[in-house]
Amino acid sequence: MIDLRSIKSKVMVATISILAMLPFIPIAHLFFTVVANGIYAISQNFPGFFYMERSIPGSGVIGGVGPYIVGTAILVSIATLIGVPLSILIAIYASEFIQSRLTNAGDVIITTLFEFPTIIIGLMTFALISVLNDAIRIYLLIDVELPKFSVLSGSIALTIVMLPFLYVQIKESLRSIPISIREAAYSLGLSRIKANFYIFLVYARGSIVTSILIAISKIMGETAPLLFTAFGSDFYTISDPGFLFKPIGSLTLAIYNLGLSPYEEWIATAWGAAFILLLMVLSLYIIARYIARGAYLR
Amino acid sequence: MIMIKDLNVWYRDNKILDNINLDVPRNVILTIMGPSGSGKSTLLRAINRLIEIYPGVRVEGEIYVDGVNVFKARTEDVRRNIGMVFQIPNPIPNMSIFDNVALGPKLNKLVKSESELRDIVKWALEKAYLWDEVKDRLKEPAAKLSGGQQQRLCIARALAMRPKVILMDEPTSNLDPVATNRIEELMVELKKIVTVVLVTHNPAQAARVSDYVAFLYKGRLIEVGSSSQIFTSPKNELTEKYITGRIG
Ligand SMILES: Nc1ncnc2c1ncn2[C@@H]1O[C@H](COP(=O)(O)OP(=O)(O)OP(=O)(O)O)[C@@H](O)[C@H]1O
Ligand SMILES: [Mg+2]
Repeated sequence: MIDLRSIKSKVMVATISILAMLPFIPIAHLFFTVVANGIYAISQNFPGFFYMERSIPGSGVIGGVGPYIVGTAILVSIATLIGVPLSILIAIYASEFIQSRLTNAGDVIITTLFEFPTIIIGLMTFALISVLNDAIRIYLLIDVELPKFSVLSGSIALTIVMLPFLYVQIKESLRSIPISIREAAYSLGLSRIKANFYIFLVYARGSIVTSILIAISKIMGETAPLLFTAFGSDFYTISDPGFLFKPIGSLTLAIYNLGLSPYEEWIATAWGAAFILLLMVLSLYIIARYIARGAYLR
Repeated sequence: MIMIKDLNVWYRDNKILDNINLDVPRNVILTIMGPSGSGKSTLLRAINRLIEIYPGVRVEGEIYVDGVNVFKARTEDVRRNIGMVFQIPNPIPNMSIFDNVALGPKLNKLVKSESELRDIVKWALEKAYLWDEVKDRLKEPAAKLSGGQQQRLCIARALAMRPKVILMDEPTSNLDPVATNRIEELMVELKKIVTVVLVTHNPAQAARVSDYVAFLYKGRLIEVGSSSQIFTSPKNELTEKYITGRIG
């Protein structure tokens, strides 16, 4: 005898499974489009794609994304060099002085920043530099102009993007350190500062390194905060000694600008850039997951 | 060696220790016994002021360790001169065996050179009966050791500070009988170089290792005496009930 109820339930389960997989279809499609177009573009100019500048439109030649890779690397490195130590310091303060007013106020400000659209963070950085310039002119009577469109302002914007995430993650890692480890540290006569830097950070290093890698992959993929800050450039600028104060390109800005251009060669270049970015972000993410797993095993 | 005078401790509004007076001579093992919640750990943590890392603690009274009033000295200095071993072995799991022992001397700048540090780590591990088992794997993370080995590592970590006093809070309560036995032998050996204050739940362990026994009940010190006296002719009825297993 055919069991109607069991057939009905099987049909339901199948329907639900198919529906549940639906959202993945566009994602998979997007993923394979980037991979296919990206690999095709890169294969047209290999290995030049990785170090050459973009080509001349109409030339039929696909150039490269060298300056954008360098730009992303520089922006992300500076942001990380500022953002990581800063968020570690703030997180240590917040985990040590849980009750203090400064912690509460800082916590509110930083977690609000977490929710900010990143384009606003770019605008804020832009505005911040204008304010700084006015302040320098008015109070110090020096007529220097900090450039709004520069490596520096781009890095600052990315720092502000990564800071709240890192702060929240590191603070949680530190707060979840078991009391037995705290007792171990303090029973050795360590000051709070030494206990934090030499013991608690070491104890939590697995989860902290994971957070740092995820934060890096996050800012690597940001375009919005760079629009009003790093601004973009299509050429190598690092040979210029003052390059920190000049605009710089990035992979994300290149994908945005070249991808919207009418030229076939540039659009192909944008696909290649997207593929490279995807690879970088994915590999960071995979390393982060791997370390996180190890951290739980200890 | 340790002199406790009129010690009172509160957690917020709860009085945990009530007017404790206790003297511990040099190079002995004094065991604090008592039922759960009687304040044994609190008393132990008052001696090295570790209790102050908990919020809401208030302490009154005086404690002298080697002639120094601990409440007048810097907390860091007090803790540096008093080693402590805990109920759950607590090495830093992702730090190497070597680094766990080297931590104290290194961070407190007690050594002048790498070779001096290596010597002191070796000495401490030998004293803790662990050297032979770990000498070829000093770089491995401490998490790889067994529970008993981890506890001996913690003893070595405490010894590496060259303390005069070691506080042990139920150091064997999470270990199997073999590991417990090793630690008990070790304690007896250690009293040649330090004064040991041991907390235990286990009257049999107290009888095996201690020179003196203090019985704590509901925050009050009921009786103190030599081990033989407490176990053969306790003066207080509560003490007798406890060691014969009728309370606790
Ligand atoms: N951090 C703390 N905050 C508030 N109360 C505490 C704290 N630590 C301990 N107490 C309380 O103090 C009392 C004594 O605790 P303590 O840990 O000293 O007892 P103990 O004799 O060591 O018990 P056990 O044998 O279970 O370890 C208990 O009533 C406990 O609830
Ligand atoms: Mg206890």
